[in-house]
Amino acid sequence: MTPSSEKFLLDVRQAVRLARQPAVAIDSDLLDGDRLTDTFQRALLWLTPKCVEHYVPDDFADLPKDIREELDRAVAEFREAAAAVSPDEPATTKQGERGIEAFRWLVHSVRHAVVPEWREAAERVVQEAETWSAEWEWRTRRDTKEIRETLLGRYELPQLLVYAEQDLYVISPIARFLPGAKGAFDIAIQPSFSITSLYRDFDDRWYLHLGPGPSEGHREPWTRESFKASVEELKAAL
Amino acid sequence: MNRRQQWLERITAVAREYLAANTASELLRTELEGNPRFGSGRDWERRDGVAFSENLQATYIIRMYAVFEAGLRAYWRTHRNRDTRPSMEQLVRHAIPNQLFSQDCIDDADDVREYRNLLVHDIDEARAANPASFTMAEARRRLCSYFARLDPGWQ
Repeated sequence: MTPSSEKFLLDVRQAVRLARQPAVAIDSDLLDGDRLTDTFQRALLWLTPKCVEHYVPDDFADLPKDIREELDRAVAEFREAAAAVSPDEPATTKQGERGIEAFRWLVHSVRHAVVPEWREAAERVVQEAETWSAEWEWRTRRDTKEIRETLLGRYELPQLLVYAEQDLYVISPIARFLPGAKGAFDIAIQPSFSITSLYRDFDDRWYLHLGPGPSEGHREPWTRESFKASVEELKAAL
Repeated sequence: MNRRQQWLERITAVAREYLAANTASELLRTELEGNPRFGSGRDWERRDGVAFSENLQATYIIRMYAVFEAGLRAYWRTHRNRDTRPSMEQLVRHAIPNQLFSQDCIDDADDVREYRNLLVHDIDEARAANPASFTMAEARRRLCSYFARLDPGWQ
């Protein structure tokens, strides 16, 4: 079941998707870009209190105090700006401007709350893979990968190359937002199409999806042994 | 080659065919500029040639999406062993994706479905509703990115 904290983040993410549509591309002198932009701004579908209805301050109690307080204030400001708009009429220009400002602040605060936590979790998983690889005398090399996500924008995470028994494996971050998970990596052997998914469940634990295919496979907690099992499974698929 | 790669090839083949058609469209436009009655002996008029050029990208996006849909339904039937026929929205958004699919990858592919539906129902409305509509290259990127996350064990 999706926790309320994740529902809140997904609602904001959905609002970001709505906010970036439609993109106003004007290539004719006959069209007034400002007027069209104004028209589209009035269709501020995302400017609704529903966008933050799943926000529960306690869900973010583990965040550093300054980030938590910033998020609290940003949500309150957005809620207020959204509540000022009548549900039956388009927002006025003034309401729209206030809403856009509040929304920018909300997205900025959410990024501040999510990216460092996700980066830390990803860093921990890569460190564990490095440690276990060293125990089996597999050489590793760190790299960085740029990720781009609707809600989080561009950011970088570590990815790990593992040379195990003459084969190259890549442990590569995919995204923070996925169905039924809060972050995932691919583990892939090169050259091959085969991939094992390493993902973080809503209980904050990491799991590997082992076995053949999405319907017949099973999940195993991310441990030294399951990591080795995933490497062996990928090797067998070569 | 696994079946996933075969279907990816089919999707990209439509995209390549579009490039060829686009070149043909440019040649036709040049021909029509010099000879507006070029099509008259072949049962079509200048305006039909203009419409052909204007609608070319939309036509190929619809075709490419049809290949994507056929591939996804084949995956559902033969690899997931399901005899149901969910809507494409249900299939793309919920039935098929697992933790291998980022939410952005799912949304990107589903945006193409929505755009394709607009094109099928009313091309002019689609253009008006979405001024920054998809290019063929962008639609291909989105559909192939999604398809590439399907299980490679599909034989």
